[in-house]
Amino acid sequence: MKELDVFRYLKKYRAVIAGVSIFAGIAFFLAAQLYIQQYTAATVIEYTGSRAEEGLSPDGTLIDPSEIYSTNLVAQAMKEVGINYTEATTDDIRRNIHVEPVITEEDLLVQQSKLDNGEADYELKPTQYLVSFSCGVRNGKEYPRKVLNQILQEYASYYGKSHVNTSLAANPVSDITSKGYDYLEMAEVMDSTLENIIEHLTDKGGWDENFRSSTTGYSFLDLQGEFEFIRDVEVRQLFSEILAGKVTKDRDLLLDKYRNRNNNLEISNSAASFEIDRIRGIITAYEDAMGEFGASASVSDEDGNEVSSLQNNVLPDVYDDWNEDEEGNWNPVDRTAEYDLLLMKYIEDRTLYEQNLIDWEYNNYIIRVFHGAPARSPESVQETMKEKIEALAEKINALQNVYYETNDEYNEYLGARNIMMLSSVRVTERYPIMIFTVLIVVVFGVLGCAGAALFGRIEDFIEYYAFTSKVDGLPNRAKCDQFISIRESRSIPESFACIVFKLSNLQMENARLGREVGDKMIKDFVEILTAVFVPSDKMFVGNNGAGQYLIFVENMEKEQVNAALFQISVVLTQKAKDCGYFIELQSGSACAGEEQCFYIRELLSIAMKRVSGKTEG
Amino acid sequence: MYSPKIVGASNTRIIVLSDLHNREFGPGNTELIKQIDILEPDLIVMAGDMVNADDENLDILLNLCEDLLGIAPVYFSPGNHESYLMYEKGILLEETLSEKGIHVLVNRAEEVVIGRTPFLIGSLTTSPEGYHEYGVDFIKEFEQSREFKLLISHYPSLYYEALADTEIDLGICGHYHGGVVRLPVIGGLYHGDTGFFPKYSCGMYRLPKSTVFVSRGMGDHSGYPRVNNRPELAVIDINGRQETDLP
Amino acid sequence: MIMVSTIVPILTLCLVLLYVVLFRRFLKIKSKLPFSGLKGKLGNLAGKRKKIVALGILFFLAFFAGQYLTGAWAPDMLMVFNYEEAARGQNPNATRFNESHILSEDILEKVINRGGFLIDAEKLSGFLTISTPLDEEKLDVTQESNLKISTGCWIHCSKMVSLYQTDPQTVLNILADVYWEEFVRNYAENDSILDLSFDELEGMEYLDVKDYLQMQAGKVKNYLPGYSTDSSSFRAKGSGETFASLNEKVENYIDIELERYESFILENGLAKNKETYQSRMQYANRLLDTSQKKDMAAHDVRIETIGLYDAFMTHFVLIPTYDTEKEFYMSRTKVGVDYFADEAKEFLESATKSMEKMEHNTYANGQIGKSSAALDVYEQADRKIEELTAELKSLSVQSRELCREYVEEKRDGYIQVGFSSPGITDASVKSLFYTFLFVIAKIGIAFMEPLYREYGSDQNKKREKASAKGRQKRKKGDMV
Repeated sequence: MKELDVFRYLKKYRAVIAGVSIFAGIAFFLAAQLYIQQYTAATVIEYTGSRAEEGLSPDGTLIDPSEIYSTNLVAQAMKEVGINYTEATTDDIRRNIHVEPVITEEDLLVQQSKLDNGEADYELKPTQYLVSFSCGVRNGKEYPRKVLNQILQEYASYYGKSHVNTSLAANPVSDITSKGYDYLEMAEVMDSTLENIIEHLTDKGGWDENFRSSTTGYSFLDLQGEFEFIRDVEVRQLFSEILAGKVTKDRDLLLDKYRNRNNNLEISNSAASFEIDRIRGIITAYEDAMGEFGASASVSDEDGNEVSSLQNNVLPDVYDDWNEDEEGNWNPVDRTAEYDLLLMKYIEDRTLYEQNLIDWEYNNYIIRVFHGAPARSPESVQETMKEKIEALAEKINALQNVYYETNDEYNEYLGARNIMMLSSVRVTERYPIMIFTVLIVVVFGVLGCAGAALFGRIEDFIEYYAFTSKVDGLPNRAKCDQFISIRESRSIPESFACIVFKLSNLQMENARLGREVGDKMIKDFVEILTAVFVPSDKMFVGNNGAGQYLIFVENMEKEQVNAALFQISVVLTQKAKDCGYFIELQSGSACAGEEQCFYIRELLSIAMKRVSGKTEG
Repeated sequence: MYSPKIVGASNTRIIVLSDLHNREFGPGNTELIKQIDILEPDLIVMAGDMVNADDENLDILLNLCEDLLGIAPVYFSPGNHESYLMYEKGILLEETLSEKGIHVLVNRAEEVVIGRTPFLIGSLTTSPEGYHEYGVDFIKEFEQSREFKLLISHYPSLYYEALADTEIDLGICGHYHGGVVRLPVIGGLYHGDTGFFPKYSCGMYRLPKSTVFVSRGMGDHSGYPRVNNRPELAVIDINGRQETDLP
Repeated sequence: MIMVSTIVPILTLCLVLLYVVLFRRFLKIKSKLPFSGLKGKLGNLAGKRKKIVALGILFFLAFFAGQYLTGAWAPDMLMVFNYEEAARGQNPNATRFNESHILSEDILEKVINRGGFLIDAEKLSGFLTISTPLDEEKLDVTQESNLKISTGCWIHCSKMVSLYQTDPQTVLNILADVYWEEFVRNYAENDSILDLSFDELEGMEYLDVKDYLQMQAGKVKNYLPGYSTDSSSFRAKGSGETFASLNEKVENYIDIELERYESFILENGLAKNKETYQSRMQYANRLLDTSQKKDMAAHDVRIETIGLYDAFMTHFVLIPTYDTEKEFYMSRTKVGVDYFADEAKEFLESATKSMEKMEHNTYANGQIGKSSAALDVYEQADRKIEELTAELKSLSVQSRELCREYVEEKRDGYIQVGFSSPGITDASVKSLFYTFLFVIAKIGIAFMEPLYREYGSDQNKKREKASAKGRQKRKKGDMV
């Protein structure tokens, strides 16, 4: 059997090893790129509100980054981007969004030093967060960037609306003419709405007078000015026309409404009056009690001088305390004194009482004005009034829409102001597929080598046990047949030679000298044969059975064949003489170029025919 | 094309038709009109030679103008062929077109506001030879305006010397038919006025104080085939978007 | 032009095939290769040298042309956002910047309409990709220097868009135009508030005109401070105005011009419709009266309560501190009375304002009631209105011009767009490299040609023929 030579096996299967490794690499690469690889869009945000370092939003609620992937926001973002539910569900997207706090070494050092300083309750509240979204490669590299950008856009707007700019003026003037109000009531509703809007805009303008919308071009102060003009001129004009013209849909119904209002005011004043009396009683009793308490707390010395007293006694520190409610929010403790609370209640009731009287007076004025009005104003007058009111309502609505648009942008602006982007959204591949591919190629290469070595060795075994002659170690007849079969369909080169040897007296010598000598004879012959015709890839030396040996050489000229044959005969003769046996060797040869025969079987056939009775040894 | 004179974030689209020479794209120029309609221009400019000097029938031009008026205002500057018909043959081309609502400009300008941008659209119909006699006063006054100055002049050769240093925001010309044969890299091959390789034969040219667009034109009258020189329907978008050269 | 873009891939493929052929032939005849006499054999190529050189030059020209022309026809576009807020990841209006919006469906629809393209938004979206220079770097949150905002992005349009009767550069150009317009419209400074409308003055009461003009002038006044805080020294090129000087002009307009106009109207008691105006004033006064009474009621109640407040119920502590002038001042702790006094003061102020308005309305009412102004006085008033309107328009125009100049200088157009141009050097180097590979392959094939002819596939045919002849000969011999 052939010696174990790993390099022989590797050399033999090098093409297969290389091919399999490369194929495995390519297959892995393609499969990984299509099915395993993910794109990750990531960015870093920072909460920059004034209380962000305490973990609080501007409205005092806890900062909750999980709002970024709340269902509503994600659904809204999907709608804006145009992702429908057949492509991905809200949960698909939410599952792949990750928000992680960014805690640097510095933060940890600060925390440690605070804890070392005895601030046991110090809790690190991160303000920077890494937000990322991962998805497969099916939708391309743009997809995660688009989705993450839109989600953050929605979040900024939501944050501004929910945690900063929490109030929004309502607009009940839409469809005002279809709600069954009389004209005077419609004017009152418009007036009240405008008052509300103006107050709201004054506050907003006060907070942020420099904000100006890019889409509408308005600032809050501009809107305030416009609304004020409409109220002061157009609404007042409407009122005066209604009152001067005593315009009404139904006078009796209108009068009833105002009388009813006055009734309600009287009832309210009655209740307020009762409460006022009671509170005054409480206040008086409270004062008396406090007075007694103060007197009894004073301490006098032997001379009757007041040494100490609870009055004018002031504690050395300013106290500031907070309470935690059920939801975990911390609220300042209300330290308003009970006495002040009583008086505030008194003020509230008294003011209500006085203002009710004034409203009552106004309602009476209206009743007086419309007392002499016709039961119903003429249709033409009503029609004109209705048109004026509708035109005014439309104007207010249009301006209100401008306000909404301005306010929406303001929400985005506040959101962006309170949530800074520290990094652009970057899209990177999640897995280094190329590195893994190279690894796969290497692994398969190593496995291939191992496999080749194993397979080669197995092949050696098979070769030895199935295709090797046990006597001389040469390829046996089966191998010779295999060799010929493989080559029979293709042509052989011109320099191909076929030599056939026959040990014609082998049986006789076996019988004469014994099997052992016969075997030695064969071995000696083979030794000489293989010394001259060295087996290699280009030279096949095989035992065809019955003492016949075949030699196929890729590259040997006629002269070389003859020289080799002569050499064998000389050496064999000498060897036989030395060993005391007689070898009758017959040989025949054929060269493809000489014979102009380029097929192995035919060449062998020619060589075999030439195996003549050449007596050797 | 960038211009700081364009107000706000608006885009002004100008379609340039030139040197049609009574050609039709589809029966009644329906293909041409359809294409222009799709492009939704703010302004349509005709830079001359829409008819042939040897053909007094103006129907193709008139029908085309009528249809184009439904799309955008049309400003017409006569070329040499129109000038021949008007002054040598006495055809009332200017009056006929004006009646239809076409702005026919002969060495004069009109103001118009497109979007929020004021434009001064002028036309210089004289050739370079007649510039000093007929055109210089008009151009002197034209140049004073602070509006966006759009000058339609059939002859690109006016910009060789006469208008070379004139401040014009956009000049539109035709006449050279792109040089008839267009050679790669080199440009137009020939025109009877200037000979081989005319200086401004096709495309946008940046001069020291002005920008000039020369149309390849849409038809021809000489019989020479256009080679690598397809008829051109030019679309010029003017806005405030700036372009920069990358390193 | 799309055919031109296939030149480079085709030539590369040809090169690969050439090397496959080379290696195949090499494997077939490697045993016959005379490595020792290689130099000598190379000399045999003399006859083919010219052909190889010619092919090499042709290959180089074709490769270079294909590469260069493709790069010129389908460049990438770089959008650079060069306003200050861009470095913070914000739009000019300080809202969050979203680069994905560049390729949003809205924008692409507008691009398609603008260009008249025969393609839908979804397909066009597939041809466009966006990337930022920072995409090459992985985000490392531990390194602060790694946290950067990219102020530019590359947009690439696939060559396949030319199948829809357009070309990549046209698509990118129109995309740049459309996005720029949307960007400026939605996020840039908006001076439309300065488009003051005076249509409502038609038929408006003379005194209302003053309020209306004041409201309009207020818009101009509100617009300017936003800029003057940024740059107080900026001066308009033409008029030489600064923000402060214009602001002062507007204030003078409100405080002086409009006041003067109002005085004129009141003095002469002018009104377009006396009854209506007087009726309105009366009603306005009634409302103001109601409001004033309520304020006074609230005030009085608080004063009453302060009177009720028992001094015994409170203790004061004096706190030495500083006042706003940095002088010693003795402050003290606050109690309920202080708040009631504050509130009473506010209500009193409100009531006073209402009273002032009422007095003004009463006066105006009276003046209009007793007025007997002649027609020419009314004409004078009308002329004044025209003058005031014209002046306000002029102020508005000046403000617009000043602000526009400032924005132009500061924002530099907001977005700059550039197109990558194919570098001749890069294209040449790459072409040379590929040509070198091509020439090597051709030389190799040319060198092996004779050997391959001798020992390669053609020999099989000869051998077959010879073999057949040999067999025939042997058969004849056998027969013999």
